[in-house]
Amino acid sequence: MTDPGPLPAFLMPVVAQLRRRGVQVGIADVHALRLALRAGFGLSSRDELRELCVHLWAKSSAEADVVRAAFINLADADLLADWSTADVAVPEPVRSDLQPEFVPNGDDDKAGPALADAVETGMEESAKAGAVSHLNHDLDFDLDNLRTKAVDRGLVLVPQYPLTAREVAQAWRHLRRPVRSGPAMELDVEATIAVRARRGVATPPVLVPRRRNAVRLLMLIDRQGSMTPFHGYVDYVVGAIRHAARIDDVQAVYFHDLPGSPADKRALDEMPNPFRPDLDEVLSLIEPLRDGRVYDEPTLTAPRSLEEVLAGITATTAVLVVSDAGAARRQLDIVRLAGTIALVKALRTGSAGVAWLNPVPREQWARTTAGQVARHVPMFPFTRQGLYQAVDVLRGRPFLVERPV
Amino acid sequence: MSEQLGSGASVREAAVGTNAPAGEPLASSSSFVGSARRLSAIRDALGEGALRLAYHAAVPVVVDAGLLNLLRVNFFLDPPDVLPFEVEAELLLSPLFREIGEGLYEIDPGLRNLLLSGLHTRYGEERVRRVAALLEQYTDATAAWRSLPDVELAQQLTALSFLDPAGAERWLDVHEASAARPSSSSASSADDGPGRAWYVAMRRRVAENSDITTIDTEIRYAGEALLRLLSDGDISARLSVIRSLESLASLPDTDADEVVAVLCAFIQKWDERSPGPSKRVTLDVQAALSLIGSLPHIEFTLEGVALTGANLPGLDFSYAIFDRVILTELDARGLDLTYAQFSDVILSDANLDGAFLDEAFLEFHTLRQVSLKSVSREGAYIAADTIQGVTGSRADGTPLEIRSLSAEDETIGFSTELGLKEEPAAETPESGADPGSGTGLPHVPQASSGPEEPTVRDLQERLWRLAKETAWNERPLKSELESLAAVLPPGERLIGICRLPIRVTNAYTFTVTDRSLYLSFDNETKYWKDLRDRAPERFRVGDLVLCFPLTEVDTCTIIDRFFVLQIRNEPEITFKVSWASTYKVLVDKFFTTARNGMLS
Repeated sequence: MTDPGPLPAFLMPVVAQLRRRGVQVGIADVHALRLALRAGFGLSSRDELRELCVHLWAKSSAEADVVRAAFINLADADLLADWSTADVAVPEPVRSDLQPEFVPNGDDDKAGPALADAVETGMEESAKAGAVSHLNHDLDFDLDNLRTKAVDRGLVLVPQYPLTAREVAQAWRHLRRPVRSGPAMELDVEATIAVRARRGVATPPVLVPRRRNAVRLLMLIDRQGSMTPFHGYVDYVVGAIRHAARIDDVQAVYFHDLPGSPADKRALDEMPNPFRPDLDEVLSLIEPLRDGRVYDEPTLTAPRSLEEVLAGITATTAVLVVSDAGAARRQLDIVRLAGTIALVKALRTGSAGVAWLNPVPREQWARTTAGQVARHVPMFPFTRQGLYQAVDVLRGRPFLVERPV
Repeated sequence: MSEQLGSGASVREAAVGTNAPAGEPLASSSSFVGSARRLSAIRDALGEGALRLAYHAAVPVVVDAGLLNLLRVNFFLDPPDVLPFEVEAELLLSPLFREIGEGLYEIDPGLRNLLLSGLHTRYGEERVRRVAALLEQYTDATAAWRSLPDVELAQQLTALSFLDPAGAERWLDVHEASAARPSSSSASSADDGPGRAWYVAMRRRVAENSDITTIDTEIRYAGEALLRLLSDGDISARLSVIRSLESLASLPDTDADEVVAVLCAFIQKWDERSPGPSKRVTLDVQAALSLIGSLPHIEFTLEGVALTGANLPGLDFSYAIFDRVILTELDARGLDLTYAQFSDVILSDANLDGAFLDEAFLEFHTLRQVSLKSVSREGAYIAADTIQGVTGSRADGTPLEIRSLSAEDETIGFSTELGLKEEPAAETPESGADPGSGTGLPHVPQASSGPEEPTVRDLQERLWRLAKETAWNERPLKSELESLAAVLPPGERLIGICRLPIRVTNAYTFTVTDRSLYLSFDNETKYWKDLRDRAPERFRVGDLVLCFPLTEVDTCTIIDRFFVLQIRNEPEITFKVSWASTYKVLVDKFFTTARNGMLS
């Protein structure tokens, strides 16, 4: 009776729009929707239908917002017009017990896309009150008049980056160095059998410590200046690595351009041809960078010495540098290059490996400091493939660079 | 912050020049000297899409990377406008934006209104409101500007000014008054709220925001301002308007032809106002010529203008239509004149070495002391009444051929390679005595006496006099009237003539008399042939003229960009007309006049 038959016209545009926005809706998801429609869900109104899709497809509250916005934008495009819900006979409306699972803000459903018909809700009033108290303590600004009280739900307020948190985490979960450590808790079957066979009597099982990911990740992250436009994206990736990559020891320190003053100028003075854009001839003369400051906070407020951080590097520490290395502003700075090489030399000593992620696309590295740095250090763009390659390098897979330091 | 808000030089102010003394626009616009170049550079490097994203970023007072990301996510993920993530950073780091600390970026104040016009033009008012709504929701939902209360307030007020301009004004009225009171009574409270400068800047911005128009309107304003400033402004004011036109022209959604038309009208007006035909080109006219020559355009017309000392090297004047233009002391090396149409042009003391004359139709009145070395002229027609001291060669070194109009069928070849310099002037009896060939001469040179019968020539003059009653850019060239003059019955009373542009370079001539409608053309192109073959046999008069008796015509008008001619019991004749709305007025006027005359 409620067999939807052929695909509803709205479906493919919605799915295409969602995929462009990073919500991966697959065949199984569409099939689930059709089953639900057949079972009578989502037929009583457009809002019902929208919420049904939110339930079925969205995997986070951010994705839920994106799905809702997609539906509202489509309503504008009249694509939902043929989804005539009135003439579909529904014996029983959708079970209302589904609703409370999601929405604390269920009353929002009636707010349409139009700006004009938006309603004053108590929630907005309170938000406004908060803003007032925050902004003005003494002057009594009447902020009520500074709002239109209109909420355009077709607008998405969820930032979107080229990679999803899931993709980042998937890549970084490959960064593993399993080491057995801690209390012996796991049964070692082979050892137990071997002991039993050797002794011929019943022996207690042999236990070994659990494997743990012994990898430690140190991230040195460039902030401010030409990196400012990338702050959001870099923070998002760093957050994903911290929270979902299953690495126990993640440390992030921040710096601007370079953690230390540029390398000692002696090496630069030794250059036979000062106009060469590279430092190949004096590479060996550059001393590892020791003096310098890094910061624990992205705002670069509380400095600590670089030496301290370097001292914490062990054979299981993978070091990741995140910086545009001058590529964002298309600069080639030989002093910065020398400083960068000095930093890499310092990081490389004693660590498991150094990889560099550059948020600027690879095509723009040429003829910048980044292009030169990439000749000495494995440098990858901030793409899915780039992340995997960086992780491979940090796991110890050899990667050929033109002039290793 | 508030200083920066206030420093924005609005294009409109420069363009309209209403509330500012003539000199001021230049002073205030000096901050965006080269902004046109900046826009074009970004357009070349990042594409038109990036500039369209910048349109959106012009709505807020300042943007941060997060807001720019949301602008892209909301408006640039679905076709046809799709932008990758990388564009965001490149745009923020481009010269279009200035970093002002705290991760905030301010758009070039001189370009802000320009970009908003772009937003309005391309996406309409609804989009402007949506961007403002996004700004409002972003301000509420994130703490992006929390640490800077002045900025946060400015963002909210800006959003409101697009969504509810009256409300924003009201808010300002109420709060400016209340902010003024405590600060006058106690000095300490002045720090708590925005200062006076903030209110001044925001008031100005709110006023600007509620007054954003489309690019076309901006161009029209600028054109009007240029004409007005000719009489009561100084040259620097005009230069600054031309510069803002240049900026407008670098937006991806600007119709460059509109800009070119405005500049041509300016040059015409300048010529009318300036005394004597031998005056030198002033800086503003030179700037207008240079801008015309650097914009992508289709045809544009200059008529009866005298330009002395113009510098046009390397510019693009393709599709130029010059009628009776006098060019003296001209530097036009490498000038692109492809598809240009010149008639009765006087060119003296000119250097056109390396010019591109391909497919051009150049009929000069006089060529005197002109250098035309290694020009390319595939398919071009070059002719002149008077030729003196001309040296020239084709790009491959072969002699350049210039047809002499005064001595029929005589072709003169020049070759600098041979060191030959022929002076055919002596051979043409009139040229030496021709009063029109000197440099200080009447704008309308006398036509050389051809072998045609006097009646045709007279008719052509009659037609030309009538054509001149129509605006200069809406009437046919004199040469285009010849085909009609050859067949027009002498007794008919002429009512009106205009051109009907059908393609970039081609226009039919539409003539109405008290008995008939005529469509004519000056040469037999395939487009004309196509039209002629669609008309029934009995209406054809010669190869180049169609004559429709008024008694048989039911309808003749322009409907929705198509010229429509309905003849009784015949299929209708239609063809597409450019700038249809302009010509519809003329066609309707002529036809109605003729019809009424016939009925009475």
